[in-house]
Amino acid sequence: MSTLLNISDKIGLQSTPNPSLLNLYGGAAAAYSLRQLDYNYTGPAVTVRRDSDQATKDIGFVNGELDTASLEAFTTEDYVRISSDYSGATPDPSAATNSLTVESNQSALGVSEALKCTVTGSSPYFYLSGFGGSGIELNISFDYYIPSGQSLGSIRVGVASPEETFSTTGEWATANFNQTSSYSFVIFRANTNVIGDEFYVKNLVVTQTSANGFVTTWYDQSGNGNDATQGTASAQPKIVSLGSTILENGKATLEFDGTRVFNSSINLTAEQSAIAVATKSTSQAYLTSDDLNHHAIVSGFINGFESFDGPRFTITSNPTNTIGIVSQFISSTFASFYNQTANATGTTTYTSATTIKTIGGYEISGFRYNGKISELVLYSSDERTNQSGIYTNINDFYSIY
Amino acid sequence: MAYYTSTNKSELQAYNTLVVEGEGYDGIYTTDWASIIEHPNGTDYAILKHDSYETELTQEETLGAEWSPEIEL
Repeated sequence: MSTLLNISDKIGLQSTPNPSLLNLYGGAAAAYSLRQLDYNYTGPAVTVRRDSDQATKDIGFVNGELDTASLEAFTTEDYVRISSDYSGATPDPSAATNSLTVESNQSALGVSEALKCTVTGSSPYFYLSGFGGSGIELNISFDYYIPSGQSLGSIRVGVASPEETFSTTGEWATANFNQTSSYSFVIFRANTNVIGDEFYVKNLVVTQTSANGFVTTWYDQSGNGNDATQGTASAQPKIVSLGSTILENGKATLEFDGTRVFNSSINLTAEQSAIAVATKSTSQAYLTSDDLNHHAIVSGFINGFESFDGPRFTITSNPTNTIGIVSQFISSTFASFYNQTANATGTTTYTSATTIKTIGGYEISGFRYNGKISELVLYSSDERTNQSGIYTNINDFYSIY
Repeated sequence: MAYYTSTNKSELQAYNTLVVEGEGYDGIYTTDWASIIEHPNGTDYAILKHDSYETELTQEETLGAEWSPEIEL
């Protein structure tokens, strides 16, 4: 039995459910995917940054597919945003207040080093900011004490409307709840306008329980080292939304929302092929373009310099919000396809070597591709004779048609 | 998406630094918050606003089409 397993391991039967594309149709100039494209490729698929604490992690493959279990474990790791027992001389973190004074290191009902909050006017509250905007899932826990015999009978706390109400009075109590933020702050409100009423807070902990994940590097599996990178946080394509991998037809994909783009530098000969698995969200889009306003999946136009000098193949007429295979094949003639249907054919006028500069559109925001890209393979050769086999390999995995 | 604008590019570079340091980007895989956008008039600049970081600069809710380079047809 062990011998059989060893043999199957060596020939790759254990590691990939489908024959790998690059083992069948090799020689790619660059190959990006969230599935394993080569049995022999042992590197990661992507490096991912989570937006809770900005940590990064390489994510590879399991059985030929993206290791989404590791990806989601990474992006759902708890991250403590605030932890304070309010023992210091001044409140830490500092709070913005309205009609409320806050004093740390105060004692109440046998508990020392608490935050004392005293009402000074109408609509009293304090809040702690810096939560990075809405949509973040948080766990909030704290101890509180509302002295009895006041007008104040409850406090409201939260990162979204409606805030949670806590109404134990006369004794210390513990609050612990989860909320998805619509505020970029956590707020504590006193439900009274009576000046002099007070409440106390101690042991506040705010924990982010899930994060978004963004790709800093999409690794080239061709062996040519043409990794696609993005060092600017706001331009990194998204792969995880609040702890869940973004999927298309049940397979991991990258979201380009019209503001995201990878930088690359891939030299192609005049004879070339491009095959992408993509879903466009807006009608205007190109597979390749040397022009800034085409929202192309791959572009050669950067810094105002037209370096692509090559074909522009529109996919504007293709359906939106539907995953498809878009491809182009260029030698003395050209042909472009959406799935198995020809979009355009003819005699090529593109006779120059080209350099791909970006994946996801023009480098300037406003001209970028809006949609999803799951796979992109580029050849410095006309792979038309292999089109059927390439399509079968892709479709077996993505179930597109 | 909101933006901060200024005629002083260094103010927007300072805002980028504020976010980079506040967020603690690793400086290896992620080095910047956002690229500074230059208006075609050559005198105005803009940067994407981060939800968690405020500044006294002028805020615009969107950038108009006049911010885009001239489009080649």
